[in-house]
Amino acid sequence: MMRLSRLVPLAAIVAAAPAWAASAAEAEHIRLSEEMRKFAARNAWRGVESSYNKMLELEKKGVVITGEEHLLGVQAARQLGNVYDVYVRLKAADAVAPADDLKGQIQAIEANYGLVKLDVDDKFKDAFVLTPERMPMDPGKRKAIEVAQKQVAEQRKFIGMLPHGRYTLGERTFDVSKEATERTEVYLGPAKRKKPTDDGGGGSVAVRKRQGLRVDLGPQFTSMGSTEVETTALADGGPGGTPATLASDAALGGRAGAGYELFLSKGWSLMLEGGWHGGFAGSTDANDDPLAASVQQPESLGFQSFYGWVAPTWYHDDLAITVGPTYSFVKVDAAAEDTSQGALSGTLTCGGAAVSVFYGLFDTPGLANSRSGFSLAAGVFASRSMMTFPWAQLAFTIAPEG
Amino acid sequence: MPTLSCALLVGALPALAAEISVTEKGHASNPTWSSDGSMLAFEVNDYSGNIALFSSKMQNGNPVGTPNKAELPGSKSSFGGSGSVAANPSWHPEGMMFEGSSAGGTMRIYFWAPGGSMPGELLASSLIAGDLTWPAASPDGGSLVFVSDATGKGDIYVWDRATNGVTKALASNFTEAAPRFDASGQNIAFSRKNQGGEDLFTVSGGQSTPLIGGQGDQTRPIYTPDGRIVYFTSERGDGHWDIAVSSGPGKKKIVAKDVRLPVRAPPALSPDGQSVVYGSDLASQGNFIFITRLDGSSTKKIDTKLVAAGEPSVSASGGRTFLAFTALPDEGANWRSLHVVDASSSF
Repeated sequence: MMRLSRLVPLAAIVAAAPAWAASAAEAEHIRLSEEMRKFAARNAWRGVESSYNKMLELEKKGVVITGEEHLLGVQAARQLGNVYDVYVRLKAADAVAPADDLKGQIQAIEANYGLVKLDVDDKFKDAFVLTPERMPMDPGKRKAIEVAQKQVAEQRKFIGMLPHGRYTLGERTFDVSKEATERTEVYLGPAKRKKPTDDGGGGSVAVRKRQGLRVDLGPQFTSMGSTEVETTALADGGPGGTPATLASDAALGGRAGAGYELFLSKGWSLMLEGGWHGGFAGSTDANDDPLAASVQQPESLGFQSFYGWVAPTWYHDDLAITVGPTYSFVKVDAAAEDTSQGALSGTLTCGGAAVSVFYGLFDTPGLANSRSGFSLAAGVFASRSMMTFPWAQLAFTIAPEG
Repeated sequence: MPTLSCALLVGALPALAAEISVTEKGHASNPTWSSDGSMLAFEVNDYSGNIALFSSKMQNGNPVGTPNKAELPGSKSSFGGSGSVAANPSWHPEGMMFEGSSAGGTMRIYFWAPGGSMPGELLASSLIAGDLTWPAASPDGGSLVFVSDATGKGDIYVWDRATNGVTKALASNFTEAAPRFDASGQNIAFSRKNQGGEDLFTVSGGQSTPLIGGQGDQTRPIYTPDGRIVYFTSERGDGHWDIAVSSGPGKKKIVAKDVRLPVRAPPALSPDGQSVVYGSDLASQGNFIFITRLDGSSTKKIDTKLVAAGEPSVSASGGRTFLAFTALPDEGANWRSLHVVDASSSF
């Protein structure tokens, strides 16, 4: 009874935790809102931008950003020349508090600006300056162009909105036109290509070939499943015919692969990857601690495999999704704590499949046209005897720039 | 008689007349047509420190919809202060420029594209500091001349659109104002404060040339298409303002006397640039808007049936000529109102 009474405050705290978290987020929202207003009053738009972005993070915790706050975000983005952010924030403001004025501003952007992706390959050695045929008078449009010029010069890439008109990037001329239904994409590759449209023409004028080294490296977790397996097929010296139950305790380990992505067409590439996938923990019945098993059974090899993976990849900017079949050679050597239960030991060849979702965060140092980031991968090995080994991985990934 | 013309023709107020009104209280002033006549800008001054600027889309001399108010960035939020000024509009082929400041802050030049959501500061303070005033575009829209007080006195600068660069038009220890390009965009006429009065100069290639000096102020010059300069002069003193034409240094001819001096605008020219349009400062002539040929050969007048008519601005579009002006509705009225008439028969 005494112990239970001690648990009451804890239970109350646990029960109140979500509410506390929500109120803490709301308190932070109020603080950021006040901060944003002070910045706005001083025309400190970078400060407003920073506060607004922090506020956006709070949306994940249930905070609702007001229309006025969205509009301050609009002003900040406008001042900083990020037209696409202006557009997105206007839409957010209009969703919270619909107004004809906001709809008019959204339509004005749609009528005057177009989505653009400018991309200069790291191996492109010639000069590349983004130049409008005629600099507009409208300061908002000028600012948008100047921001794009700066980003192209510093990062060799710009994704955003530009005012309608004709531009030159390097030697390539392109149009951002009202009639374009898709994002205008311009890519300056490492080798000079014949200009596809000297007269402009609008729309996409070139596509970067997403092609290059692919590396995935990170911890993985493999479930050995709970399938009962006849030890006759597996045991080495154990009691014949005694089933060994592979409990949920599986292998924590690593997965490391290296390969190459081949460009197929815009938005698609094909990945060929091979690597090692292993778990260091032994895994048998009555062993619910996958890490402990390997300690207790130092001779255990756990679960080791070598795989090959052929998979098409769909990509859009820094996002890439890879799905495809795998084929693995698996070696298992996992002794039970209770040796009377036998040991799981042997080799398997498994088919399977894997999916990976990658998001690039930064350019890979020292590697041209490559992005580094994180990926989440999951898959399954399946043996001919229908043993299945589902797995998941969080990986540091290097992939070609798309 | 407010003019020196040898012939005087009188016309009645045309049948097609529109009054453009807004909800803001104050004197309507400084109407300014866009070059194609599709837009009309005007100010509303409450004489309490606030000057609002409006832009109205025009069709056949009538406003289309409600005039749009120029909202300076930040002025719409609850944190914007009072004392907002948006004034002195001038048109560029792509939109309107004006002077603006919020809550008594620095005066800067803003640009507002028709249909654009909000005006934006045209020249960043990193490009040119100080209070920026008197913006005027070159005819091709490639350059902008304006005045900055960054050095403590008004200096004339030219902004080049293609390079986004600002250069000082001339070195001077005086205060300059009211610069205007000629048709070629190569010459600039301006006024300079000198020993208490204003004199007119021109500058080309960094070299300034005296144009007209003398008693009183010679100010707000504007070029005609053929290179003459029309300006206001108060050389007669006692608050009398006249309109004069100069065809070169030291050459001048008064073409209208006792004119009503607009709040900020230069003399209004007819679309062909051969006539000047003005109101009279004489109470007995206050209901008329006058149109005088620059060669002094004739003057016409339009009876507005209103009081203290002035600040005319003329535009030709669709084969017709429209006159915008401000006036008091009657002697006891508090605020001047804005009117537009089809004055095709008078031009």
